[in-house]
Amino acid sequence: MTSTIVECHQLTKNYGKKKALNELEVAIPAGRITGILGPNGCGKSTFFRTLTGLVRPDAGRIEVLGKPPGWQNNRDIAYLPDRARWYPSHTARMALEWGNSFLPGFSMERAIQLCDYMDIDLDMRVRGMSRGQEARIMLILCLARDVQLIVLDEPFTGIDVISREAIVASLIDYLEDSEQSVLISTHDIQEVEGLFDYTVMMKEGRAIWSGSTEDLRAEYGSLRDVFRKMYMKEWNK
Amino acid sequence: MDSAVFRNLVRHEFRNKGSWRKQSRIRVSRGWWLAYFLIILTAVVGTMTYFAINNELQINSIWYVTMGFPYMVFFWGFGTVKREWENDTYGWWLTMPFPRAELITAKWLGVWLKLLLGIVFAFVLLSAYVFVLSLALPAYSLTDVGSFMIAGIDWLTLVAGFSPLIISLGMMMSIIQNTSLRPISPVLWVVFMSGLSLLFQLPDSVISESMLQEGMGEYQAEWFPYSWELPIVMGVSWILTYAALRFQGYLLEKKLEI
Amino acid sequence: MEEQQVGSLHFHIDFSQPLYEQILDQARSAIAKGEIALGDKMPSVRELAQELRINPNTVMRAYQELERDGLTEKRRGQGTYVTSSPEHVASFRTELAARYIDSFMEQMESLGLSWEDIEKYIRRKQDAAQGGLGS
Repeated sequence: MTSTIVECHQLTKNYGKKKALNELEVAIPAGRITGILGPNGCGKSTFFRTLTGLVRPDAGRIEVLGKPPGWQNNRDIAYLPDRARWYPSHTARMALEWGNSFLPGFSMERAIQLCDYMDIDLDMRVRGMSRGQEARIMLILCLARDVQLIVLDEPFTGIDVISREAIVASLIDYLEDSEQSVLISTHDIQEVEGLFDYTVMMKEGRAIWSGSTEDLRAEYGSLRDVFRKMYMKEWNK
Repeated sequence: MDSAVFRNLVRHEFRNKGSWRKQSRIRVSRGWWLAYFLIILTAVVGTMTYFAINNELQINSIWYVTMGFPYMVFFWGFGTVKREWENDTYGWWLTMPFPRAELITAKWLGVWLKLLLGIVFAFVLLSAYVFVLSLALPAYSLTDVGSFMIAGIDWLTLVAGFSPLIISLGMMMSIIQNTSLRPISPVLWVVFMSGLSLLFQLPDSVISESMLQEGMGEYQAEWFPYSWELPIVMGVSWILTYAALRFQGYLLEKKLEI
Repeated sequence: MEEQQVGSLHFHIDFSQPLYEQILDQARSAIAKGEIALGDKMPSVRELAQELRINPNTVMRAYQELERDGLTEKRRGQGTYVTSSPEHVASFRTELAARYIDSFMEQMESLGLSWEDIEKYIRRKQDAAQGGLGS
């Protein structure tokens, strides 16, 4: 097996009485597209926030790119936050300029290409955009970077089908010629299950299954079926 | 961090405006806002001019319109941080690859520069108004205009000098609401709000209360009508500002609760 | 599960089975059957990944295996082409046939069938097929 890009031991984070992360044990291999799957509230977002140093764990150890999380490490991580929005007064171009000034490894040229590909008008204000257009801009801010790790927290939530397809397509395009590792969390695997070559299933702050997606298929069938079975309880609530 | 990045950060904060939340409120069209603004402006200018014509306006007291500044500035500081949460942009803001003390300092500087710009704007506008008055009304002379401007500079220096601390405290208030110190925020509200009113009660020896009333007739405003303690108090407030910003950097780094 | 056409290739991806093997098997048989002609350009990894909505790494691995099989060859800067040598395809077909026969025989033997039985079954199948064609 190749080296790991993220490693957690006994990672714990509580919000009041709720255990968002409950002694999470996970090792994610480098150079793969990893899907972090689970229903809402299973701890995916908290996990990603500890990855980028937004949240400090109460206990346990986490290493990202071989280092503890923090702002220094974020130079090498492109992160799409959960339920994030963009500054409403910005135009698309201003958003790209923001990326160009502050995000290491950002390529303006590539970002403009992506905008063209994803059908984003550079002079349009974010205020006047649909949620899907806004989501595409935010994704571009992540994909236009040449960094070791890309972390996308629920990139498909609340987005129209066309934007969703554009996002999946540009992810595939992008991944083809890069050595980067990508983590994508989602609670809705329709249309994206073919993307993941490594899968972590989370439930109640723990990883209940992790491994190569092909192994998972050989053993249990399609991700969708597995998903449905594993989270039946939550779905029936 | 190199200074170019910091400059860009400050510029981003300086220009940053608008909120998704405000947008989702019932939209009042721009034209209406402008109409309301003009009505209020006309009322204020009209009243002042009316009193001026009747020789009852002590022009230096025009500066009183800026008296509410400590509260206004506090909420500017508060709002600049709160907006990141209102807009759901805090994830982007706080994962930028720079020390959080730096991020918060840039925000603070952005607000302060905006305030300075506002001060210059207000000064020029009001001076021009008084100048027009002096041309139109025999009761006011050019000397009065000069005196008015000096009183203004005296007063606005105070505003500019004490606002750094007030801005930083406003920001701190908002940050604390997103950290594990959240439970103490009601106490802090009381402390800060009553603390701001103390500003108006600085001892006479530091700021003469009648400062803005002088300047009519034989009383001419003088440069720097304060005692020597004022620069010291202001200096201390800057040191406190620095400490407050460092503390906020620490809070964002270690105590954030999202 | 729908059938997808990429260039002159047909794919039929079932997400409840490992994807790599499906792509490999289906591409192999397309070449062996001549669905895609000798010397023709294969769809690019990107194209195939886009159309099937799967991880490009998976497609890439399947393509590498095809190359090892001798069924395709990479031309620098131009992409992947089906081999232009009929011998390569023929030998691969023979090899694949041998493999299929092996697994077929294994299954038959596990049923305890003798050579004659198997022959009989095959004859019958053949007759049925011809009869079906005749009627």
